[in-house]
Order: sequence, then C-alpha cells, then structure tokens
Amino acid sequence: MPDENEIQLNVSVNGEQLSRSVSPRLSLADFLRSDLELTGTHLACEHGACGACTLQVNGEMVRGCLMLAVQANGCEVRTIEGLADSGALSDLQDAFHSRNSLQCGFCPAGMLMTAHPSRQEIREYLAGNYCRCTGYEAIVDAIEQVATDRADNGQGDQRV
Amino acid sequence: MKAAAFDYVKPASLDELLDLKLKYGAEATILAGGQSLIPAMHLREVKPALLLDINGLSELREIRETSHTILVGSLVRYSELAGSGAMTSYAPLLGLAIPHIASPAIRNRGTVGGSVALADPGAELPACMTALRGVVHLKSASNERQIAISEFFTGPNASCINDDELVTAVEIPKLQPGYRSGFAEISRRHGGYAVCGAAAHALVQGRVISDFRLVYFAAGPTPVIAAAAMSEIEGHELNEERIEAAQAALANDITPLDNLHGSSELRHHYARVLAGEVLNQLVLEDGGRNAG
Repeated sequence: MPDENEIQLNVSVNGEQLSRSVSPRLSLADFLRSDLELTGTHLACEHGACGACTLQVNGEMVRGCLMLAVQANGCEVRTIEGLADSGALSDLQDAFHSRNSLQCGFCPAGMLMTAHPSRQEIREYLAGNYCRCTGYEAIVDAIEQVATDRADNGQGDQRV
Repeated sequence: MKAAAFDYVKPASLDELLDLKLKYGAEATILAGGQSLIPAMHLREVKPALLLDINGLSELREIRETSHTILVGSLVRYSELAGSGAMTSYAPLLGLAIPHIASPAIRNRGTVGGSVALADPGAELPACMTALRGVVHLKSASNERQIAISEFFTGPNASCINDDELVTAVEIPKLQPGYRSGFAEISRRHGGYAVCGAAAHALVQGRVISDFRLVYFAAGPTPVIAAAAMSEIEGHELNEERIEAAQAALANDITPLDNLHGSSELRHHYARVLAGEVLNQLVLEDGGRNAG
C-alpha cells in the first residue's frame, strides 16, 4: 500500500549502514525481506509465537515480526545471513546437518539465531521456536554438541 | 496479515508525549514493547490512527529505590527486570514469574508498563504486583495520580486509565523480613498462555502464615484476589486441613470461563492444585525462590 507518511530509517544491517524511506506499518522482518532481499529471515505466524523471524538488534534476540522497521532507526541489526557469512554459525550448521535437525528448512534460521548452550537453557530458549518436522530432539542434540565442542576448544562465549 | 496504515511519532520528551496524548486521546495508542500490540495490529484486532512510540523516553526505563519501595519504570523490559538487583532483593516474586512470560526474545522487548496497561487477565506480572500491593503511577499533561493496582483493573483488557494518561511506573513495597513468595502456573507449553496461574505472598513464621495474599491470573476478568481462600489460611499454621479448606473456598473466589485452553471445571481444578503448590512453596526453606 503506498503511504504518504513515510519515515527516514537509518540502520546498520549486518555491518552495512543503510538509509531508506519506509512506511510505519512495515515490520522489521518485512523490511529485511522485501526492501533488502534478505529472505533468510522467515515469517510464519506474524504474532511472535513461532520464532522463525528471530533477529539480533543491538546484540539482543528479538522477534522481527514484532518490531516496526522504523523502531530499528539507529540500531545494529544482525540477520541469519550476517551470522552465516561471518562463519559464526558454521559448526552449528554442520551439526544440524549431520544430526538431521531439519527437514523442511523453514524453522532452522530462527533456531540457529536462538541457539544457546546448556541443554536446559536450549529447551527454554527454543520454547519460542516452532518446528513441525523434527520433534526437537535432534535440534537440541546439535546445539548441545556445538556448545560442548566450543567449550572444549576454549571459546569463552559459547553463545552464537 | 499486516497492520493497517497508521501515523507514527516518537516523542523526544515525556512532556511532548503527554501533550500528544491529551490532543489525540483514544486515537493515539502508546507503543512500548509492542509484543502484544503489534500482533493485535497484524490481526487487525486494533487499528490505531496514531502510534506514539515511547521507546526514546529513557526516564521511563529506570528501576529506582526509595526508602520503603522500588519504582519500576513503565519501559523496563522483562529481561531487564529479571536481571535487576533491586528486584532480586526486594520483589523476588517477580523473579519467580518472569521465566513464565513468553520466550526470551519476547522478554527482551516486552515491558512492565505495557503489561499493566494492557490489563490482560491472563498475564503474570499484574497478578504478582497485586499480590505485592503495588501502586500504579499515572501521568497526564495536567495531572499525576497513583492508584492501588488492586483497584486499577476493571475487566478483561480494561482499566481505569484515562485516554490522556500514561502509566509511568509501578511502585512495589520492599520485601519485609520474614515475608515469602510463591508462584505457579499451568500452560500448555513453556511460555505459552496461562491456563491458570497463582501468586502468593505472606509473612511466614515457622509454619504460621499471616498477612497472606493469594492472587490468581487466567481465572477471572481481572487478576483475582482469592479472599475466601485467604481467610482460611490467615493466622493459621499451615497443614493439610488448612490447605484443603482454602482449596474448597476457591469456588467462591474465581470465575474461570470455558475457553480453548480448558473448561471452567478443569481450570477450577487447576486453581485448587496451584493453591496447594504455592502454599507449600511459602514454607519451603528457600521461601519459594527456586520454585517454578
């Protein structure tokens, strides 16, 4: 829908400073997908239940569907593309692959953005991410394996 | 679905915000964390003409200590409250409840003031703050007032807030020596909507319970103070007989309806189970701090 009251948005996405004019009603996830063609951030429920659109804004995990693009003005946004390109997720991606932690491929971007080290914490964190294929066990296995491997390798910050 | 079009303003000061709220009244909706508002807008359940984004008002984001209370600013996010020393020391009941609120990504955005202003009868913090005898601070361009949170809610998603007012903070009395808290909730999935939940707070001496508060959520149109059940416990030593008396009295206190989470009968049953749970938490060695 064309909108006469567009607002200037200055935002850093995956380290790149951008300036765009956006409609207030545009969600941050829709902005990333439609304006920037960063389609790794998936949208399903659009009311915060499924976790497929999980992003990092100023280092904090948030729902991309529940934040307006204009609210990200002045913020640093990281998407699955940014984290995947940097290699920060390589071991998690490998573990998801080797343990069959994904089937249809819709939820993994949000799962990887939410990954957290201890098994109990993994389950608590992933309580907000729906997967309709795997039954979750393989996802928890994969994240736990990576957390253990990272700890063994002396990587202090085990969180993605 | 996507939200209907709206105008968006992010005021730079509280005065500017309150002037706009005075001017536009019910047409202007406050955007705090947005974790309930934006889903409702996506579903077109609400179509505000103007969103006033308060996220730039840093003075609303403070947790301040006074001699007898803590003042939790309305823009304090659940994750910030959970990590605050003031809450841990002075209002540990809130710490028992916060892990039950949605999921970490939601808790990074959702705010204390938003939860209070939304007045969702199934929400955790309004019930806990009612158990703790919290006070809601409201401000308009011309007036400031405070109201006991037990008087604030008037129905499902309804409160006595006026169209020109903003919730600026919730004030909570500091935990007094000997007081303990309990919290329990039943939901279909961790972080899911409550099917039924209970918060308890009391002075506990040995097993004798006094100044007892038992407040339910997802059990009526507002947070429900379970007065009949409370009177069965007040001043008594806690034992099985007292717990059963309180559980029986709950039928006079709560009015859960049939809904998609469960029948009224089932939710009455859950309320009785939760009463036993939170009462037993009160007399645990750790005062219920590890409950949940």
